[in-house]
Amino acid sequence: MSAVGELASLAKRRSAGGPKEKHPDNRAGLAFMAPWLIGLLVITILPMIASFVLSFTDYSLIAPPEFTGLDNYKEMIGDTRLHKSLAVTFIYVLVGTPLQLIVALLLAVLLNQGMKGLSFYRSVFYLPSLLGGSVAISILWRQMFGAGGLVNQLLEAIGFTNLPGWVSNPDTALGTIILLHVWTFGSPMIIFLAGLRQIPQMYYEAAGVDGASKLHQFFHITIPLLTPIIFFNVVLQVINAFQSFTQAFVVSGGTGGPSDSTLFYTLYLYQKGFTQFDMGYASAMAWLLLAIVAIFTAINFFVSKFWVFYDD
Amino acid sequence: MTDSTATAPAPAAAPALRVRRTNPTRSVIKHIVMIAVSLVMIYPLLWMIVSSLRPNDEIFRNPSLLPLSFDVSNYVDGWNALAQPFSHYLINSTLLVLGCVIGNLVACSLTAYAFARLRFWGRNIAFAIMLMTLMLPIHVVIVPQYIMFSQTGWVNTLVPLVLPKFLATDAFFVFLMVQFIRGIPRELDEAARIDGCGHFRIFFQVILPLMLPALATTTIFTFMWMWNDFFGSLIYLTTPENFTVPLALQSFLDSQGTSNWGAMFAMSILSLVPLFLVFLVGQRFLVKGFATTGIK
Amino acid sequence: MFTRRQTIALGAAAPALVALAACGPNSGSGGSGGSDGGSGTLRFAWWGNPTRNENTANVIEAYKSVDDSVTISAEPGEWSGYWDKLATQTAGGDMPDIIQMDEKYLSEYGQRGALLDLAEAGLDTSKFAPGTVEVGEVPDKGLMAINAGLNAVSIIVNPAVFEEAGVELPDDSTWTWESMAQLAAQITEATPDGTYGMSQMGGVQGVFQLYVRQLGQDQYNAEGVGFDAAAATQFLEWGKSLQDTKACPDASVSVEDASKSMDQSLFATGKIGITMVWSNQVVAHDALVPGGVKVLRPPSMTGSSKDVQLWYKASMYWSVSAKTADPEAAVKFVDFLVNSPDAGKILSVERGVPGNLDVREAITPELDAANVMAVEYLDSVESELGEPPAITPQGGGEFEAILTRVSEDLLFGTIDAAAGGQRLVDELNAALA
Repeated sequence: MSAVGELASLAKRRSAGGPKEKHPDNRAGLAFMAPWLIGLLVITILPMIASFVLSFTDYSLIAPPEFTGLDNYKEMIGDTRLHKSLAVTFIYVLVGTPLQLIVALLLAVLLNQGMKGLSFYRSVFYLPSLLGGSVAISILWRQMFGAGGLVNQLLEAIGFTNLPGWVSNPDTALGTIILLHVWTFGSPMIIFLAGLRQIPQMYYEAAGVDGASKLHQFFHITIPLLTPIIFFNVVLQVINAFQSFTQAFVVSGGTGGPSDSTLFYTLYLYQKGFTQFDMGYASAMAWLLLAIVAIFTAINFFVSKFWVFYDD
Repeated sequence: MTDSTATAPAPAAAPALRVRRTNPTRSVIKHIVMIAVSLVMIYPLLWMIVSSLRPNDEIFRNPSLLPLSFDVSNYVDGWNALAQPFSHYLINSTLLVLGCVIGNLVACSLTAYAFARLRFWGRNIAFAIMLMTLMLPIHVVIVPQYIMFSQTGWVNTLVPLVLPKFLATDAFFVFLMVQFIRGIPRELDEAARIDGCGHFRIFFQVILPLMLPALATTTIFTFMWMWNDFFGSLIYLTTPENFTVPLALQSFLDSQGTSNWGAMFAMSILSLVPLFLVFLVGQRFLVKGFATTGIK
Repeated sequence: MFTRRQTIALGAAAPALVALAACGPNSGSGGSGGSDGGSGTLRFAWWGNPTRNENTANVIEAYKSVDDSVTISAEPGEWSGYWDKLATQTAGGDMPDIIQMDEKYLSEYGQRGALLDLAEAGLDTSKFAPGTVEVGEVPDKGLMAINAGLNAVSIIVNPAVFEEAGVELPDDSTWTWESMAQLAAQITEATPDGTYGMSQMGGVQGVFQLYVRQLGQDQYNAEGVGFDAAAATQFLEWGKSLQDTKACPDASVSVEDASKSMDQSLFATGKIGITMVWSNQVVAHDALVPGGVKVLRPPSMTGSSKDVQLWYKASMYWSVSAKTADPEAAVKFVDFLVNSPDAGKILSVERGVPGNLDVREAITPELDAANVMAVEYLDSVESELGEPPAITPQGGGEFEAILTRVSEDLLFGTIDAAAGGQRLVDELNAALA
C-alpha cells in the first residue's frame, strides 16, 4: 500500500532532522494504540479472515461451509450481473463523489464567511444527511421523481412535455440516485467546515495586511491549509461510495431495478449473500471489492504527495 | 459581523470589515443562493411533517404540501401503537448512542494521536491495516462477527454494538482525527515537550483542546449514524424490549401489506428532535475552532 | 474436494468459528436474558405488521393458560429484515425455536436440515383440509412446516372505476386472458388520462405460474424448471400486449407501481380497475379502496372456470428449529397455533384462511364482511383446483426477481418476448443449480 510509502517517507523526513533513534516512541505508541490493537485482534481481524476463507467455500449460512477452491472467483468472470454492478458502481463513484465534494466544499466555504443566519443555513443544509437513508426519504424520492411527481410538475410548468418517470426508467434511475447522493452532502460539508475553522486566523491577517485579495487568499491560504481535510474527504468518500448500499436499497426496494440499472456492487453482494444463500460468493465479491478500493486508495495516497500540505 | 469584530484582534478585523461593508449586493446574492439551496434541503422535512399530520389514507393521495389537515392523532397512536410506549425505544437508542459516542471519542482520539505524532515500530503497516478494515462491506463481516458474539451470550444486548467503539474499530474517525492532528502546528507540542511534558500531557493539554472541531464532528456523526443504525441493531437485538428507534419505526411497516404510515412519519419526526438538538449543540463546538486565535 | 473437517484445519481460527457455531452452546435458545439451555423459554419469531404483532402477542398471552411451564419470548420483525436476521442467526447456531416460514425459503432451510420434521415430532394434522398439509413437505425431509393459512391467486376489481368507465363487471366463470385485456383497454379508453383498466400482470409471479399451469406445465416439476421457453414466451407476449393496447400503464408507470407499497399502489388509490392479489390481501385492499373491492376468479385460456387450474398455496407456515432445546414444547405450541379454535379466533384469517377445517368453522361466524369475502372465495374455487404444484426448490426464491428483470427489459423494449422466454428458463435453471 502506498499509505505505507507515504507514511514511510514522512517518517524519513522527520527522522532526518530528529533524533537518531528510529522508533523512539515504542512504549507510548503501545499505550496509545492499545484499544485499537485489542479491537483489531478481538473484533475486526477475525471476521475479516473468516470472510477471506469463506470466499473459497460454498457457504449457504444455513449449512456449514464446504471448500470449493477458486470456484467463486472463477464464477465471477462469467457473471454478467456482477459486471453490470461494477459498471453501475464505477459511474456512481466517478460522477457522484466529485460532484458531492465540490458542492460540499463550496457551501462550506460560503458558510465559513461571516454572514447573518449562518447557523440556520448550516443546520438546514445538514438536514438531508440527518434524514439519510430513512424509509421516509425513499418514499419521498420515488414520489418526487415519479411519473406524476413534483419534478415533472415543475418541468411541465416551464414547458416540457412527455416526461418519463425518472426513478422507474432504466436510463435515468441511476441519475436520480447520484442526485440523492449529492443532496446529502452534509457530512463532508461538516468536515470541511471543521477543517476551515482550524486554519489559524493569523495567516489571513498577514495576507490582509499584504493586501491580498479574497480570491488570492482562498487559493493560497484556504485551499493549501485545507488539503489534509480535502484529502481525507476524497479518500473516505471514494471508499464509502464504492460500498454505497442504503440509497440504492431504499430507492429500488432492494432489487437494483429497473432492469438492474441501479444494481450497486454491494447491493448485488447482499442479494447473493442473504437472499440467494451464497455467502461464499458474496465473500469473494467482498474481497474483489477490497482489492479495487485498495488500489483506488493507494492511488489517492500516491497522488496526495503532490498536493496535500501538512504542517508537520 | 459584530461579534467577530469584538473578539478578533484589531488588525485582522479592519480589512475584513471593509470588504463586507463595500459589498452589500454581494451579501444579498449570497443570501439568495443560500435560501434557494435551503428550500431544496428543507423540502423533505416539511413533507414529513405535513404527512405526519394527515390521516393514513390521505398521505399518498394528496401530494401538496399545504397542511390541509392538522391531526395529531398519529403522534398519539404512534406513541402507543407498539409493544412498549415509544419512549422506551428512545431510551434504548439514547443508551446505545451515548455509549458509542464516548467510546469513539476516547478510543479514536488516543489511536489517532499515536498515528499522527508518535514514531513506533509497525506504524505504517498498522495504518494500512486500519484503512483496509474500512473496505470490506458490513454484510460479509457481520456473520462471522455475530457468530463470535453469540458465543459470548451478548446477543440481544447493546454490548456487541457498543463494545467495538471502545476499541477504536471505527477507522473513519481515527483517520479523521489523524488528519486534524496533522494540521496542528508541531511547534505547539514541541514547546510543551521542552517544558517537560510527556505524551499523555501533550495529548490532553495541547492536542485535545485544539482538535475540538474534530471531536465535535465525531460526536455528531457517531450520534447520527448510530441513532439511524438499522442493520447492526436488526441483527443483534431480537426482542422488542431491546429495540432501538429504527427497529421500532420499521415495526410500523409491512412491505407485504398495509403499513401505519402516519404513525411511522410522526415517530420519525419525533426521533429527529434529539438528533437535531445534538447537531445544534455540536456545531457550536464545531465552529469554535482555533481557540487561541479568538475567531468566531 | 475437501471435507468439512479439512476445511476447519485450513485456516486458523476464523473458519473454525463458523463450525463452532454449528454446535455452539447457544443452540436453540440464545442470548436473551442469559437463559441457557432453553428449558422454560421458547423463542418465537415472525414477520408482520402492527396488527399481526398485536394478535400474535395476544395468542402468546392466551397460551399461558394452556401451558404455563414455558415462556414464549416474542421476536417480531418486518419481512425485509426478517430473512437477513434469520439467516445470520442460523449461521450462528442461534435460530429461534419457532419460526414463521415462507414458501420461497422453505426448501432452503428444510433441505439443509435446519428444520424439525413436524410429522415425526407428532404434530396432529388430522383436521386439515386435504392437500393442505402436503404444501409443507420437503422431498426426502418430511413435514418441515405446517401452513399457518391458505391463499390462492385472485383477481380484484374496483367497481368505482368500472362505473366511471361505464363498463359492466365481467363474468368470471367465462372470461379469458384476452377478454380481460380487451375489457381493460376499454376502461383505459373511457376514463381520463392517468386511470387504467388493469395493472401490468406480465411480471407477476402468481399470474405467471397460473398461466403456465393452464398450458399444462408448472413453475417447477420434480426435476426443476417446470416450463419451457415457448410457454414463457407466450406469457411475456401477453404481458407486452397489455402495454401495447394500453390496457395497462406504460413501462415506466408500471415499474413504479410495482415498486410501491400496497397502500400507495395505483389500484389502492383508485387509478386502476383490475389487479391480481393473493386472497389474503383482499381484506387490506378492501379497506384501502373507498366503496370496497370485488373478488373474481382469474381468467382462463378456454373461457371456462373449470380450466383455471388454481391451487391452494400456504400464505405462510410455522416451522420449528431442528436445534431447539425442547422439541416437545415447541411442537406443542405450534399445535396450539394451528389446531386450537381459541388461538384461531385470536389470529383470525390475518395470516390467511386456516387449513384446519374445525378452526375455520369456529372462526367464520365472527368474521366481518371483507374477511368473509376472502373465505368464500377460497371455498368457491375448491372444486376447480388443479394439481397441487411442487414446492419451490432451493434457489427458486430467486424466480420473482428474475421474472421482474426479464419483464422490465421486455417492457422497456431492450429484448423481445422470445429472448425473454429463453432467459426465464436459463436464469431459473442457473439459480436452481
